[in-house]
Amino acid sequence: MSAQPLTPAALAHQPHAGDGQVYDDVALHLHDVSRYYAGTTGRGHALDNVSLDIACGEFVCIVGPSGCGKSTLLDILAGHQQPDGGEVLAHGERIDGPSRRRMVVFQEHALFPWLNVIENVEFGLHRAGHDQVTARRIAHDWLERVHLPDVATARVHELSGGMKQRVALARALSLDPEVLLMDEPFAALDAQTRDHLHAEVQELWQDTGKTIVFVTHNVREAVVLGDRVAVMAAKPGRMRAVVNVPLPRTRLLEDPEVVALARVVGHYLRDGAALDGEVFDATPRDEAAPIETGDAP
Amino acid sequence: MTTASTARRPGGAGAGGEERIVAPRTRSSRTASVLVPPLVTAIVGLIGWQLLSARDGTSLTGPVTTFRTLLELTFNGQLASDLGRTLVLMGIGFTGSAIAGVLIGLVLGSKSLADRGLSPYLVGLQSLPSAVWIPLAVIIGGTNVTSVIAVTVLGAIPSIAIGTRDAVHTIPPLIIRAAQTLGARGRTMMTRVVIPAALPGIVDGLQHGWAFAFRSLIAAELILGTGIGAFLGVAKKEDRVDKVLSVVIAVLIVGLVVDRLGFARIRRTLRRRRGMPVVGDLL
Repeated sequence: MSAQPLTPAALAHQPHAGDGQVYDDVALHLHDVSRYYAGTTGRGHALDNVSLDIACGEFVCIVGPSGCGKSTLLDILAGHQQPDGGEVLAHGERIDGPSRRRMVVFQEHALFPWLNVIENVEFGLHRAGHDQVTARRIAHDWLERVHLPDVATARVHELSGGMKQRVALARALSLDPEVLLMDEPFAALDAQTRDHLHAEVQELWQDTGKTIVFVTHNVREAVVLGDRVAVMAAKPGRMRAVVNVPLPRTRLLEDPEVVALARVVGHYLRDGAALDGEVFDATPRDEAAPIETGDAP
Repeated sequence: MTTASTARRPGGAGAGGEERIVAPRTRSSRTASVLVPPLVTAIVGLIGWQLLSARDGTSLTGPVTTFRTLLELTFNGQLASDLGRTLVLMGIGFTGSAIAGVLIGLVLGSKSLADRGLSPYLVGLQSLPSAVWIPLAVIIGGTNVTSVIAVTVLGAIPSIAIGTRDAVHTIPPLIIRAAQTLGARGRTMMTRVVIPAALPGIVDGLQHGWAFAFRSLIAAELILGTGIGAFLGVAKKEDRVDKVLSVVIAVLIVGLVVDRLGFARIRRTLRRRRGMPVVGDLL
């Protein structure tokens, strides 16, 4: 099994997170990012010195237990929250607010109920300055690409959960963002719909070459989708390990290689305390998969 | 929506006799179940009214006399012209309070400082009977339509403003964040996202506001003797219970028509289109 052609070669066999190295093609750069929250027992760390570099065109999944700050991390990348410390750059520029260059797909679809399906997709296109004719054409194209050409005039509440998330994907991708941020987008869907969407997201990613950051609590989903899987730990939220996924695409949840590697990632999640800062040598098959640890404390 | 369409779908291939386990209610049976109970209430009420008015020594007129007077007044134009004047004032007063109330509500909903400073007082004003403004309006503005309109507007603004504010506050934060990501800012955020998202709640506020405005207006007209108030003043002098009751019925009908055919319909359409539950609607 060879390294993924779509995985930037420079990143595939080098340590990444928090090693201070700078890559030319970094899409997202997180360095020592901290975020506090005010709880009943005083201030706590939502994120404690998290570092991660994500290359252009890379598909990175972030897994972690609830409360590890993975959604906070995505919020910071989206520009909806500001970090209390550290540096967050998108294509070399400071993130100081939401931007069309970084689209978000939320766990709940977040479609606008007062608009029909195609008007939802057109919303961002209008804000981006497209006229009605162009916006409608682009929106139609994208509805076709997410396999929903026939529901353009349907109301949002008439769609199934999977269809809503497809519309949300179309709405995000139609604006041609550099980065797609996905916050547990398939968590509320049934297994079969999720399988379909896993395949579709992989195809869309391969077609468009977008940088995708995908937050999930499902380890197998992370291994199916990601070039790399960043494993986070809770209390305080921190980066524990970054695991490469050198498996060919399109991957499926039940692929034995996926299952084997998911077990490795699962070990990081569960027994993380013992593994913190160590290099875990995962050997899903005969060939060793290069796995690096995250930011050593 | 989904369940309804699933139920109507023929049970799939080979389902045969198991189709339509639940028989769908026909339109006529639904209409009957909606109309029959209030009709029964009306008949019982009319009988009771008839019995009350038939007692010795009462000045209460019976339903037959009252409705005859109502028809008379409707067709000879007396009631219509006075009621028409009232409705014009109502239109002006309600439009004014709707514009002012929604604008205030949008500001309160989006600026937390203004909200903290003003909303407690608006909630207080909401429970203030607007008739107490009448003497003030008369002293400042004199006995004229301006005073009547001012009382109407003041009576309706608090509930419209509070309703709009609550509607803005209950917009899911996710909707706002999605809109920000998609490039909505400032004015576009307000006109393209906040207002449409809050619209069902704003309409609820306007519906309450209409009721408040109508009550304030009738109170002001009774005291100042304009429109329907002038008509009632004459009826009172003439000791005509049937005329007074006719006005009560006419005002009731106008209120019901606007509420049921106007607001309730807009509200239902808005909610249906968004897949929101439609509760508490009668007609």
